[in-house]
Amino acid sequence: MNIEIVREKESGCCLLRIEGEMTIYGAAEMKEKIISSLGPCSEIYADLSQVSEIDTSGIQLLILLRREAQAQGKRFRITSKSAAVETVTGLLNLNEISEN
Amino acid sequence: MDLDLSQARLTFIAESSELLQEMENSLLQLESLPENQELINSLFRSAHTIKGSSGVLGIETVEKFTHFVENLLSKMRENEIKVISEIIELLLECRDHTSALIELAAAEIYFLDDRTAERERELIERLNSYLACTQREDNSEEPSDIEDTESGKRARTDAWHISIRFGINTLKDGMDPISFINYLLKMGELVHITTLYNSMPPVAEFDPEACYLGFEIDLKTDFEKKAIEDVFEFVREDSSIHILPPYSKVESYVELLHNLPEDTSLLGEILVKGGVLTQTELEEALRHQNSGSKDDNSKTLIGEILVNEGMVYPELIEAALDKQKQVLGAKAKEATTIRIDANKLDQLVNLVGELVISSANMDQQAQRLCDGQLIESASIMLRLVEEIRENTMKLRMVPIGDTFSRFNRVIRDISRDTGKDIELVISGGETELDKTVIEKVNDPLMHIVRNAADHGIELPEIRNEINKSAKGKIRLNAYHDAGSIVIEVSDDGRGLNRDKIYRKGVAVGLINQGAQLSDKELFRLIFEPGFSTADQITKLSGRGVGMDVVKKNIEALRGTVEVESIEGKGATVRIRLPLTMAIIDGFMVGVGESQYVIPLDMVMECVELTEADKQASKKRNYINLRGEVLPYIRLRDYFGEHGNLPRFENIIIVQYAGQKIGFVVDELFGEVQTVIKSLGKVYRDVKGISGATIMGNGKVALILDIPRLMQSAENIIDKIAC
Repeated sequence: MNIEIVREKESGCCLLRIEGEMTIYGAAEMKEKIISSLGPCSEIYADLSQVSEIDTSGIQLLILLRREAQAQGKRFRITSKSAAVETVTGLLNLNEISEN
Repeated sequence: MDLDLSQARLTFIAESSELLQEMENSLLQLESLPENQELINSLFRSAHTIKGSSGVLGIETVEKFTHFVENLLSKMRENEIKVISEIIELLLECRDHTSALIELAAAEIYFLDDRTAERERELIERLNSYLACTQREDNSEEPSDIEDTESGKRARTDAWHISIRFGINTLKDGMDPISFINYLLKMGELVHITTLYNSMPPVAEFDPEACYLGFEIDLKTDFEKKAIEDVFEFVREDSSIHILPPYSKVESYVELLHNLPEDTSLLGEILVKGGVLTQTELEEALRHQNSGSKDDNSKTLIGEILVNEGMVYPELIEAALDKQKQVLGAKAKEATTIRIDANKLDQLVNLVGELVISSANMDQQAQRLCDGQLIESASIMLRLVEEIRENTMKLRMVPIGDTFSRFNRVIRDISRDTGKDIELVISGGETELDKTVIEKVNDPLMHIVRNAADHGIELPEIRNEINKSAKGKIRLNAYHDAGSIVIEVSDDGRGLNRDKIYRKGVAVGLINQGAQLSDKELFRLIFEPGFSTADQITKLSGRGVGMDVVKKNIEALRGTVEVESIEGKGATVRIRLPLTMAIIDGFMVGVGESQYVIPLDMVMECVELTEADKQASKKRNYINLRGEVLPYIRLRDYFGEHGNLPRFENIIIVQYAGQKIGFVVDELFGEVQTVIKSLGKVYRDVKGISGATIMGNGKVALILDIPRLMQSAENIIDKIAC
């Protein structure tokens, strides 16, 4: 798992690029990172096109991130999903988390 | 992730082989008791568990195939398909195929070779042909099932409604809710699913490894409630699960809404979304429910409600209770037995062996110092070490019954293939022996049993002609006898043909024409390698196919094998094996400068070799023991020992396989605990020695191989017998 966070200071945008597995094995670390990404920015874009595997813990983190963004009045959007993510969100009927 | 799964996978493979064995046993029993519902239930459970665990572990090959098997079994359980021999046959073949699939999975091969795939297609086709028969009947029956006599408004949906809130530890326990949903997908059509995440706490309290999800699922499937419940078997304890059947009463759904932790109106909407209820129905029902609940304050148990509502049938609840009991039983069993790596056990046995040696050494030192207290301490320790040794050896002991019962299937298959009617009678299944020995004796036994069934037992018509009952009998028996375990395979078939074996023996040059041989000597020929080629089987009516391999395997275990036979009446193959492979109680004797150990269980008595006997025995090699003829061997001569001849010689009498023989030795030292060390390959052909042991003083003593010594003395014995 690898998370890259790019902040554009001027626009207040934050790009979250996650690569590899979004599974329980990296969940604790991932929670810290993505929650911290929320910090100073006003808009968050998540690029999940390089996620090779996602499990329930990964889905929960996405839900958490979205809820948190919502609570802070920030825009959250999943810009692209890999096949693995697409399959799971489709299965769980969770396409709503892509955007708020 | 891989690591955890590979552990689980190993457990799965071990468990499923047990389950498959259970299935085989149940199927065989079912043949004679086709009405027994319990057997069908147990079959279904086994198949279901294999399917379930392979699904969770992602072994799709197994999961896919067992799914079909389970379908058939579930129809059988509902009495929609009658138990007939063709079905049992088919299920046995399916069992074998499943076992093959699991073996492939164990080798981490997930694609099927052409042959296996072809076989699978054929089996599935046959399974489906039975399933298709009932499907048609099903359709006509179904509506009557649903039309309940009870009035009340029913939901129009034909989908099951499943409400599940996964336990908070689900992920930590190594399970992923997604895989369960995936699994449901395979059972039918997922009409609608809503993922609930309201129970997720705020960021600070959010544990990324906890599970906060719940699902409301509408599923169209032909499976019954229990099958759906079973999907969630592994998470049932910690999760809250509600399953409503199709066409349930509207009130049931409302009841469900109240039983769930979430906001009622939110859930109601989900039901509406899933097409279970219409908006008006929901509103009406909620109103009704509210007014109703004022009247009775007493809380009814959920189980009662369910039954009253006609949602679950009492028998289903009973089944569920049964299941719980079983789970409890299984848990209790789990607590009393643990799986241990066999290597660890071996290590322990080795260490105990060393302990035995060093405590013997300790004892000797104590004796040397002549310190009373020290001697006492040493002897207490010696006794304790002995107990430890005995207990350790027991750890490795398992009853042979399981191995025996596997032959039921073998006999059944041979009976079917050859048109014979054979019954297998098992006795002495509780006899215990070393696990490694059991494993190694399996193949030779298989060989012998097959021979007995294939070549020994005659066809029913022939048996009738010669006044035998049409049903042939093969007996498997095991018992302990003087430090060894005896396994007998006997049949009441045609027995060995003396003349044919004799002619064959002459033909291949193993015996000379005209030689006079006892039955025992003659039958020993069938264990010779030359007696086992294919075209001789027919001439010899079998008996001797690969028997040389059997003999070799048994001898590798320091055992012996012999045949007894009465022509026309049957044959008995008797295997004798040492009880343990590692540590024995021995009796130490001295000859010249060397020391030898004889397994204590075989020692009968010791007598002095009198002067008169000595004189007489110059010419012959036997003495008169209380009127009995006792042949003996002078170990001094046999092993070419030097050293002075003592004034008194002793004769130690041992018994093995019903034969007595004496060994003339110089000195008797008495009982010792003997840790058997195998000799190197170089000494393999040394006759009369089976191993060595290290004594307390560090010297090496050789362990006598009594069976082989007896064989070499057999000429004498036979002469006496004549």
